[in-house]
Amino acid sequence: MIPKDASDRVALMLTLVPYLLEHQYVKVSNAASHFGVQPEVIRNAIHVLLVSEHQDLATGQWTEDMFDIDWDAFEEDDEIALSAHGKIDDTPRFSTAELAALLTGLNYLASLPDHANNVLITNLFAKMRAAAGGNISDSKSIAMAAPPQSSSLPIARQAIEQKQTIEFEYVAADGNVSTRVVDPIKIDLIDDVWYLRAWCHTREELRNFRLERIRVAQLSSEPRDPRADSVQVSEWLIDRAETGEAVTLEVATPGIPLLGDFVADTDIPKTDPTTVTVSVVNAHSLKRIVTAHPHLIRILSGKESQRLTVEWAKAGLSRYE
Amino acid sequence: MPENVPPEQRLFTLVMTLLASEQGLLREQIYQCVPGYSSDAEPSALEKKFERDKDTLRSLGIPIDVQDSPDAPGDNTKQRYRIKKDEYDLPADIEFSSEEVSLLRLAGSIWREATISKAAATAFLKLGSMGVAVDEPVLSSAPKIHTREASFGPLEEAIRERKVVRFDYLKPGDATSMTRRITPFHLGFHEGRWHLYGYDHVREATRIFLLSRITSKVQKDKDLQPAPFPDDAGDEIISQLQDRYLQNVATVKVQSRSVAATTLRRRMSADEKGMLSNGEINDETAINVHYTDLTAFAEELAGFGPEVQVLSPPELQQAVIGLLKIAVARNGGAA
Repeated sequence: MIPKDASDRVALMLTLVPYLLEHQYVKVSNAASHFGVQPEVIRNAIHVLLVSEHQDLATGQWTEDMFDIDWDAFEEDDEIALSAHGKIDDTPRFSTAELAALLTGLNYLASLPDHANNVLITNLFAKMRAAAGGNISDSKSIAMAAPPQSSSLPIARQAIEQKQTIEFEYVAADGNVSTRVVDPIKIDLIDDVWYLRAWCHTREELRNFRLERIRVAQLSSEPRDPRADSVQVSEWLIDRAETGEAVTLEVATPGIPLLGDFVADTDIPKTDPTTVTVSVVNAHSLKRIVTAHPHLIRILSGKESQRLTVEWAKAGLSRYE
Repeated sequence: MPENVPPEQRLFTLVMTLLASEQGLLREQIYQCVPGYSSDAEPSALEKKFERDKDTLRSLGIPIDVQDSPDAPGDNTKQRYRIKKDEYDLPADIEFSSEEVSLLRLAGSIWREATISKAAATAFLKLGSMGVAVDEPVLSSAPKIHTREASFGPLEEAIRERKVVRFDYLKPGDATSMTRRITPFHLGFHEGRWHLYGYDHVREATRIFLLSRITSKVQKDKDLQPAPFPDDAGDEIISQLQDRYLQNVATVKVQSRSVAATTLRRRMSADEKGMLSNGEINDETAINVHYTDLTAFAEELAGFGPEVQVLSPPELQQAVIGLLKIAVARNGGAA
C-alpha cells in the first residue's frame, strides 16, 4: 500500500511498533516488504516515532524517551532495533469496517467453486469471531449472493491446472459463432461475470472469453502452445495499447460502471453527465452496452460505433413491427 | 513547544498518551500534553481538530473511552478520555498461520473502490503487525467486486453505526426522485447489482433499494430513532431478491446460437431446459426466463437488440421497446 494520508501513516506506525518490538535488528527492506510499503515509508515512520514526545502532567517535563533505537545499526546497517517504554506492545484490534471488508470477502470466497469445502475458511471464521471481540455483530453489513454457475468452469479450471488445451464454440459480441482452440491461462471473476483468459490458437494471441458465451467445451487433441505459458496477462480485460476508433461518449454518473474497462477510473472527470473519449476496438461490445442503457450513455462522435448502435436498436425494434 | 508536528505524530502521541492514562484526561490536559494541539490556535479550531482525530482513530478500530464527570454530566470540558488497553489490544492467544493470513489477504483484496478497500488495507497492516511471514499471496486469482456507487461507503458506515439516513431515490416509472428516510440494515450484492435493505420510516415497512437509483448524497438523519435491527438482515436481503427472481417470469423468443441465447440460458429453470429440443434454444420456440427487477432486466434485453423478442409480460415488452427507441433517437438515428 501507499500511505495517502495521516490516517494511513498512523495506522502503519501503530502496527509497525509491535512488529519491531518482536523482531529486533530487522532490515528496513524486510520490514518494508513485510508491510507492503516502500523502505522510505518505514524510515519516515521510524523518524516520527523517535521524535514523538509528550509532556508529563505531573512534572511539566517533556519526555522524549518513548522509544529507543540502536542508532548505529539504523544509520549504518539500515537495521531497526527498537525498544519502547509505552504500553504499545500489541496489535490494535480490527475495526468493524475492517471486519466487514475481510469477513464479507471471506464469505464470498467460500461461495466460489475453488474454495468449496475449504476447511481453512471454516476455521478462519471462528478465529475471526474471537479476534473481533465484541465487534462482530456490528460488522455484518454486507451480504453477497454466490456468483452464477458456469458449466464451462470445471473444464477450464482443470485445463489451467494440468496445462491442457480445450476447444469450444464461442459466440462473439458481433454474433459470429466460431470454433476456438485455446490454452486456458487464468480465470477472472469480475462482479458477476466469469472471464477466461486464454491463448487462442487461431488468432495466435491472448484473448478474453466470457464463460457464459462458451458453448459446450471439451478437451482438444491439439498440443498446448508453449507461448501460453510465457505470455503476460494484464490485470485489465481491455488491452489499452490496442487502438481502435476514437469514440466520444456522454455518460451520466450511474452509467460509468456499465462501461467497465472501456474507461479507466482515473480518466473520469467529476461532472454529471461527463464526456469521455475512449478507443474502441470492439464496437459490437459497445453497441450492446449503449443499447441497454441509452438514457445513461450516448455516442457523441465515432461514426462506426454510432452506425452499429443505431442499426442494432432498429433491428431490435423491427421484431415488434 | 515543538513546531510543525505532522498529523500522524499528533495522532500517534494521542494514542500513547491515552493508553498511558489510568483515570483519563480532560480535553484541556490533552491539548497541553500532546504536541500538535497548538495552544495559540482558535479554541473552536482546536475542538474541531480533536473531534476529527477521535473519528480518525475510531475508524482505525481504536476504542476511545469517554467518561462524564459525575458533577457535570454531558459537559464535554469535564469529560475524561482514555484508551483501555484490554479493549485496544487484539484479544490474546489469537494467532494466524501463514496460510490463513494469505486467505484473509485474498478475501480483503476483492474490493476495488476507495472506502472499503481502505479498510481492508488497514486490516492488512494489522495482519502484518502479528509478524506472520507470508509467501507471495495469490492475489492474481482474487475476484474483483466493484462498489462504484457513491452511496455505498456512507450506507455501509451507517449500517455499522446503526444510524438513520436520508437520500433521494428515483423509482422506475417516476418522473422525479423522492426523499426516503431509512434505517439501513444491510447491503446485498445480487445479479451484479448492489441493493440496500432497510426500514422506510415514511412507509413504515421494510424495502429494498437499488443503489444505482439513489440520486443524491446519503446524509445522516438525526431526527429519527433507528428502527430495531433484525438479526438475519443478511440472509433476508438475498432471500427476498431470490424470491423475486423465482416469482418473475418473462416469455421471450431468442435467436439460436446468439449471445442472448447463451446468456439467457441460465435464467431458465431445469424443467424449462428439459423441454428444449436437442437441449438447444431455437428461433421459433418461446421460452420462459426468470428475472429479479423488471427495469434492470429490460435493459439487459434491450442490449441483445434483435436477438430477443419479448412476448410477455406487456410492461417488460413496453420497457424494452422504449429503450430501443431512445437508443435510436439519442445516437443520431432518425426515430
